[in-house]
Amino acid sequence: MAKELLSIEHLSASYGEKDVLTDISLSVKAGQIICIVGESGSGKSTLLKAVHGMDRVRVTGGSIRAFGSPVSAMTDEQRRSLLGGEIGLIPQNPAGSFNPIRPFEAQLRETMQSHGRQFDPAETARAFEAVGLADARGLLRLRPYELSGGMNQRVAIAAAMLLKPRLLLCDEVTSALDVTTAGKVIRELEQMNRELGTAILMVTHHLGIARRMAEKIGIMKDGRMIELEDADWILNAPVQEYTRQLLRDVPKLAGRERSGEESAGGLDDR
Amino acid sequence: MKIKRSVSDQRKKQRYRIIAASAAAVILIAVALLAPMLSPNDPYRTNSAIIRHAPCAAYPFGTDNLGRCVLSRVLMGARTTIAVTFFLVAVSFVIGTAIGLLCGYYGGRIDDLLMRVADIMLAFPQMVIAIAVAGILGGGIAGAMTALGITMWTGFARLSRSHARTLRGMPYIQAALLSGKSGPYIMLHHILPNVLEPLLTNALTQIGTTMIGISGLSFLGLGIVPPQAEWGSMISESRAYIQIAPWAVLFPALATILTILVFNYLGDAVMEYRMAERHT
Repeated sequence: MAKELLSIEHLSASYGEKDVLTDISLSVKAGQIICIVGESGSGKSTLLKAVHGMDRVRVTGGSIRAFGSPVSAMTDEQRRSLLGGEIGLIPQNPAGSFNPIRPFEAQLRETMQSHGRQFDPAETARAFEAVGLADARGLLRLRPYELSGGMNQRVAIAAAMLLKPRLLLCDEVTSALDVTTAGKVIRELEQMNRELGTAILMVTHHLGIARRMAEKIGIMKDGRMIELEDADWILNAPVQEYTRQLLRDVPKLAGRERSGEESAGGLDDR
Repeated sequence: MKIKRSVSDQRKKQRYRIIAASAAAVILIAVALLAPMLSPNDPYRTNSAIIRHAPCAAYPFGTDNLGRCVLSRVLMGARTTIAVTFFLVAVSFVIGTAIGLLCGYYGGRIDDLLMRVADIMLAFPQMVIAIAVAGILGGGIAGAMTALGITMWTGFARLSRSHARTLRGMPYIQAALLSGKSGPYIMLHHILPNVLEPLLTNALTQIGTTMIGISGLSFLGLGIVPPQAEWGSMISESRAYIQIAPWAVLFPALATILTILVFNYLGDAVMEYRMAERHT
């Protein structure tokens, strides 16, 4: 039986006084891919932040255990050793992920060194290539403000890949990318999952991605996980009306309504 | 297409303005640095035979009440005024920025305390405080600089604080924190480089104001005192006989106006360029 990497039980969390997550339970095992789908403001990203510790999300109830240890009880040192090496994060906002005026090389070097790894330009070039970024040497000299949001996002994905975490948290990773690049990134994440056994907890509003990648799909609404089942079950026989509505709302292209099994974005071709 | 072209033309114009203003500023600084070599006469040598002599070939700006060459004194005065101004702006920049970064990054009591001090300083007109402080400290360069610097740091502190507060919430700062980087490291490597540009623009616009302050205090006898050549004190010394020898007032006054105009123009041009860049 695969080892449990992340266990969330009855989690409630808030930003200041505002409750944003209520009674969330979820478990991610080694090598598993779970996608959390929901509309904007449903609490998907907050769930990832609660695990990762960004943005000071306050856990008000329940527990998060990562690699067997309770995250909320961890010291900064323990949390630091967990992040990057064991848990990686690809954030939603590529512009905010990097210091806009510091060259990528300095930032990637610092990130690697923070996690006790050596910065290897050749390995970095391979990771860049994997996400569709050519001329890694030239790119490493550039500053984030000189690149588009999509390019920054791809560098962020490459950086997360370089650290080879056992659990990767992906927050709307393809939202800033064009369809072709999004497809390439998804294939790379799948390859990472296949070859390195990296478990992926991905937050997305794109059902096509969830359908293609996920073993399990969770549906979130108003800070609650209203449905969490095997992907086939969710896509074919959802229990909740909201899930059925989400499947019905999959973008209609060229005037032709597409079913939940067939979704937009060119990401369905396995 | 038309809109695109007009925007690019505007940017080109703004760039030319910055280049022109920078060139004028560089010339002024070069003149100040090379003043001893450019001065046709000894700026401190008095000569009773040529008191209040009108401009001529030997004394292009005429002489003052003590027979000193006004041109040489204006050139040496550039050195004093520009050097004191730059030094004062630099010190205020460093102190104000450091305070602002500390307040903006850490917040809490230190922020409350220092920002209330800044509020008190900003509650009075800068020149009123400067005159009061310079009066208490007596004349001299050190007194004038202290008097102006006591309020000047607040502008830099407020600006760097507000930027630091905004940047503190950025994911890359959070990530640096989570990866174990210390507060001073984050401030120095992540926040400071990002706030440097608006702060430097602010410093440019402060140069003209500071120059007015220095010259104003010297004019009132609370700043740089004679015989040291300084434009404000030169105007003050010569105003009593302005009707007999207007050149002794006119040329240092023109030098003051020209220098302030150049640095203010440069500051405005850079600020305009930055604003336009932010909106494209």
